[in-house]
Amino acid sequence: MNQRRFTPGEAAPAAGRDASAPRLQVSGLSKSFLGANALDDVSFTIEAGEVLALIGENGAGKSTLIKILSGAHRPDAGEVLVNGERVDILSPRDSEDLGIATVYQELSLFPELSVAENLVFGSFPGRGIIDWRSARKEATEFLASLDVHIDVTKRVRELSIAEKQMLEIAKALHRRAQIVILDEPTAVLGGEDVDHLLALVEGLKKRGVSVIFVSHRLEEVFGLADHYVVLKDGRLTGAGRISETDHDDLVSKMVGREFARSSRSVNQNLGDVVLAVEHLVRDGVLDDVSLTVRAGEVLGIAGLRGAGRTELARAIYGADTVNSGTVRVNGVDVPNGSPLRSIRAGIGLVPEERKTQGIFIALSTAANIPVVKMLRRGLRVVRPAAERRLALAYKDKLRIKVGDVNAPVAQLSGGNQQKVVLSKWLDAGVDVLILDEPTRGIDVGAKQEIYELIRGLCEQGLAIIVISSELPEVLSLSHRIIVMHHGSAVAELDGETATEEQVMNYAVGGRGQ
Amino acid sequence: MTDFSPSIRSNGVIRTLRRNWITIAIFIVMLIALAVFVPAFYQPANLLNVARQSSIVGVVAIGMTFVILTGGIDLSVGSILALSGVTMAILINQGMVPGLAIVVALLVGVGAGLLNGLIVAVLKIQPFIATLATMVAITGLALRVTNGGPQAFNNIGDLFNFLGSGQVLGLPGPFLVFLIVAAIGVLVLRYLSFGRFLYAIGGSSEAARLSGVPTTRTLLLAYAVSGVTAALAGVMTASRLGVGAPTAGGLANLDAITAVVIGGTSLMGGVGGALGTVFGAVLLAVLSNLMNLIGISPFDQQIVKGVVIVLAVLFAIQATRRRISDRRAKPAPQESVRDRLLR
Repeated sequence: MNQRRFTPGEAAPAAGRDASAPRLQVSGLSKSFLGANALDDVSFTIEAGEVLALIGENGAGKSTLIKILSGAHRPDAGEVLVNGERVDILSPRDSEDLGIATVYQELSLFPELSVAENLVFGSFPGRGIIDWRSARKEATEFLASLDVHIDVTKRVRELSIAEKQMLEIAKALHRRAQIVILDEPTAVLGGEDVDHLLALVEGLKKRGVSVIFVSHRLEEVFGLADHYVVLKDGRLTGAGRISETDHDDLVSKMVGREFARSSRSVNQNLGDVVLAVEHLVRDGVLDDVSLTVRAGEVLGIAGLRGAGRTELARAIYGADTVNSGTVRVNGVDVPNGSPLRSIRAGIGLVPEERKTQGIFIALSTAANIPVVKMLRRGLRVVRPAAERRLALAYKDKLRIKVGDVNAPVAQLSGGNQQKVVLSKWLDAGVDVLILDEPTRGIDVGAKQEIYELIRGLCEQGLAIIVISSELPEVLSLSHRIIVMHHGSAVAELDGETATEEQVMNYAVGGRGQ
Repeated sequence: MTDFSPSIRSNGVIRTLRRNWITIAIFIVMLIALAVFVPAFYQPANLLNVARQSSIVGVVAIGMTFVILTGGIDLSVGSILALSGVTMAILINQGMVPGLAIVVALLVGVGAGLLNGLIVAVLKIQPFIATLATMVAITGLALRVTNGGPQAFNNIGDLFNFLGSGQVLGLPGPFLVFLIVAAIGVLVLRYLSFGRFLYAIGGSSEAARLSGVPTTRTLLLAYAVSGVTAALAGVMTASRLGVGAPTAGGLANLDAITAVVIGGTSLMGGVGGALGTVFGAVLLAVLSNLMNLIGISPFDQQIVKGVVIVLAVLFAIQATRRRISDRRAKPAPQESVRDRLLR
């Protein structure tokens, strides 16, 4: 293992035979999962010491690409060349041996070990017995050479997220990585930490390390990257020098030029304000968010991952405790931090994590639906026959494809599970329904049915909030759209006139058109 | 091993039986083998003995089922059993009416259970650690109030007779108590919202919380149930022996957990039920009895029990795998694609 170390300051050596070949070349890369294209004929190159920005909406294929390069997935077609040599990346270990290091948002450090231990892990100095003194010395010097100043005796658990990320990058370099992939590194960081991280990436460039930088924040991309690649639905929709493009150009490549708005038919009968949220603050997560929803109205909430959409939903619903702000339903204050009280006030939540938060996967359809209603009075008697009738009624009403309503909901498809969650809230009879990514993991047919259901509920006078990463979904369902960025509501748009470009512009931190 | 969750009933018991036919078949084969090779097993006196032997562990295990369904565990049941027994003995020796002494002993169990629940649900300490701590402390308390010695008391009377060793309608009193407790357990778990909430919390406590289930209160109650059944088992033990012994708990906690697990309730929570626990407790008693009859030494008996536990859990894992493969077979192919794409 010792030979894997390299001394600080030394440039990463080029391992390939052909010095003039690009550091990394990807050509014709395709990958599909059960017939759906996740990546479709994607090609690009990165030179040594270059930063390539990889841009795209959630689900555009960035993750698949990264996973192929890091050895988690194997491509169906296409090839990867490192320093001009064709390589097969069959495992994460292969990827590491080729000098590719991937820094994910969920970091792979050992929280209970020290900074030094994490840094030299796998290449411990000493023979048989680890020489901790030289390990610490080596770690200190190595970090100093990168201009990263962290006490190497600290446990990783005690570090800030920014420090952890920098340590992760340092670890990659210590293992002589030539290509570093950073997967949305700045999404979880605050202002100053972002600057530190960006400075570190600048440092990598100078060392001749190539960086693939995934970010939703276009301002960072413009400050840092040399080239860019835009993916949309697995295809390359744009690539080139960053100096030859601008903000609007990138946004239009992200959302795709040919955009046909799906049919809009929104309820025209709006009533009084049912839900009023004022100045909601949760430190570091939500920054003074206010909104109202009227009876019969759908309020869409758009924004990129990490913008605080789910957190907003949870805060309104009382799943998380907020630092300040009020939630009112029909003019009555809802106590903070208690889902039960929110339910009693008439709010329902369809959570994003359906399988772990929305339904009880081991319980049957018949047992899942009446759970909320059961809270209404103290001790309630379960009547299996009545539950069965209820389930059959909802099966009929919502067209739930379920063979046996007494079988565990684990056996149902995602769309049908979601209908069970909706049945639960319909049965409970709420005034406000918050749906967080209601169609995630649901097939196309069931999606349309969920949309119809949302429209139907709206006509019945419910106040509805729909959170979605899919812009067409938000645009076609909503009366109004709030765009979130970094914990704040940065824009409120009219659902009738808003465009994908407009929403995306605000979502990436721009000021709109 | 077996799966008695209410979730998978369509026609109640029939479906349960159909789903667990392997386990049931094995049990029936065992009973037939017994008839052939160990006919002494079917002597009425021996059957009554088996019934009696299953009772005390069975009562404890029914309460334990409530806790395990939430994904928790209660290690303190043995110590609660001992404390309630000595409480009753001391109170009777001080001249309290037996009926009242029993009620107080049961209340001691409720109190100890609520304490467990408080530590688990409010202080958010892992159930294993929480009840390990109360187990040690309650054992200490039982030793302290008795000065370490067993408390003999006058256990003459119909009530003690019924609870301890007597027969009613040809059945041992303790076994009747067990059946009554089991029936209440089955009914509560199946037909009360409280029971449903236990399954909900065990399935996913976050989903339960987001559905408005009063998780704290429900957990408190679950541990209180376990406490009161343990206390009842303590009263039964003391009634039978005429002694409230601070060491009466023994390995009751492990026996009860074994019965629950063999009965098909998952230690992960959310799956299982009281009917399975009855089955588990009886199976354990049959096994012990059988080994006694064919003359296996008590030492070897423990080894066999260990093997049985492993086999039971293996069965349980197999059953879970079957469920998961059920799940994989069903959903539309597009779904998993999107799940993966979005990750």
